[in-house]
Amino acid sequence: MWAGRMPHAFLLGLASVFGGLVIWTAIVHSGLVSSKLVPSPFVLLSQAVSLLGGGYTGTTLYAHIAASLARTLVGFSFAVLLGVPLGLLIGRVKALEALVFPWFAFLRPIPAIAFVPLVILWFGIGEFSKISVIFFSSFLYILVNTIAAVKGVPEQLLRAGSSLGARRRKLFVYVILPAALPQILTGIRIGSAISWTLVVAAELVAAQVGLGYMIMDAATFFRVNDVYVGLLAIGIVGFLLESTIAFVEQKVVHWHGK
Amino acid sequence: MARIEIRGLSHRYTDTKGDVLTAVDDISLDIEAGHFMSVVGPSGCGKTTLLNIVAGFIPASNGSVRVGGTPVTEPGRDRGVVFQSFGLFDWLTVRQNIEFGPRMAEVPPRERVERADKYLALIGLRKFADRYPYELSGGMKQRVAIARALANDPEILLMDEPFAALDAQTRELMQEELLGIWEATKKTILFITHSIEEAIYLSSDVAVMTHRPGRLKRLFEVSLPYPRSGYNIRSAPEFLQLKLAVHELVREEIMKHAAEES
Repeated sequence: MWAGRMPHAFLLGLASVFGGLVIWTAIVHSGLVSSKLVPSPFVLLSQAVSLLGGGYTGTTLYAHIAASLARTLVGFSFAVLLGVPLGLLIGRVKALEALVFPWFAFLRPIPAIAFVPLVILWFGIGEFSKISVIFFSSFLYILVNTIAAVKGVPEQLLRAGSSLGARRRKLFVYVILPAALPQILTGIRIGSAISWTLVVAAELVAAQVGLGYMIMDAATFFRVNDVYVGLLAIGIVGFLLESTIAFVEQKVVHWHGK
Repeated sequence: MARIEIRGLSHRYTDTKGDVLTAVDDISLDIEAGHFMSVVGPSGCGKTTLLNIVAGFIPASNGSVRVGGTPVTEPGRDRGVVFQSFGLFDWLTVRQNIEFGPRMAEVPPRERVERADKYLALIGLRKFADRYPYELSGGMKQRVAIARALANDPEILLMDEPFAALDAQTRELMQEELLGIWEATKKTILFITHSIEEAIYLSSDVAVMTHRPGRLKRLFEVSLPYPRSGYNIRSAPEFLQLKLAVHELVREEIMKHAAEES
């Protein structure tokens, strides 16, 4: 009964962000917390502007973002390119699924970040190590989602397709693939978010550029404002990344959820 | 024109408890070419299992099904299937759904368009050709599903409670339309329903099944003349008599089952 009077969701969200900023500013100015540990939004804004222009340790904020984004996109793209086809195959071949299942069951609960030390031992601290950790984190997720998507195609659609003359390869291309697409894309979207959170974690360990490096380095030298700016940048880029994929998802699988 | 010959057909399966159950038991039934055969019976009597075997979706444990003399081993274009919950392809438009069969058979695009146009006209949905299934009502969806099955020009139409999900008014309308389509195309139809009235109104033959395990209890011929739409056949004495007779048989099965349960 409240639905009719409820204001637009976007306006509510905007009001919530604005209100949060006001409370944040008020707390900082009241002196309840040290402004050295929690700077006010205005201070952070001016710091962000200065990082965008002057840069952090000689590298602009853009360059840090670009470095992190590039690692994510490379690792994530490989995860999609390998995870989706492999998932389609495993989802269709029961014996294959039985073969790989115990490995998934074992590997999935291990957070990808836990592999970072091992990966560094194996491959050193270069780009390959970071990218392989990112790849691994979203690869498993995308793979498992694709398998579930293929297996979840309703029996009735398979029956409809096969009685209309779609057999084997045609059934796969014209029925199974489109029917599984919504869930595959959901897996890809969430995989992208996982990759993005992992890049930052991977950079905390060993990097000379990137948002994770920037935050770690700034914290070491007690440049609190820079830590905050780094966090904000991660949040904003992550949000934009997932929104972009969600937008594409809605366009491609327009029928989903209707 | 193809007739369906069902000989000594049984289907057994193992349930989750590991018990072996018989869904269909030793059914022999002929459906003559161009006939409209309905199968009625209490719910859970194996009507749908029977249809699924004829469609080639599940294998028979014993016995055989022949369509036009050829044994059924898998689903095929000669048997179009219409499902209760439509089974339309949500990612395709109405036109693309109807063209699906011809496309799989690699019919040239021009002929495909012509065929789709013909069946769009037949089901009265020309204006909705470029809409997606999620934009249609239940009755419209089922019309599309029927057109999709017909566009492949199958010998046989297998219909599994196709109107059960529709409201009463739409249902009656769809029954009339189906009779019109059947009279125009002269397909052999196997129609599963739990509505006795629907079965008698539509069919040239009605098969009544027993409760689990599903056997053939009795076969009725419906001698009411076609076309049946246009005058009030549902209140004709012969119609009511037949309805009562079939109703008695189905009721007997339900009571027998209730007695077994208690």
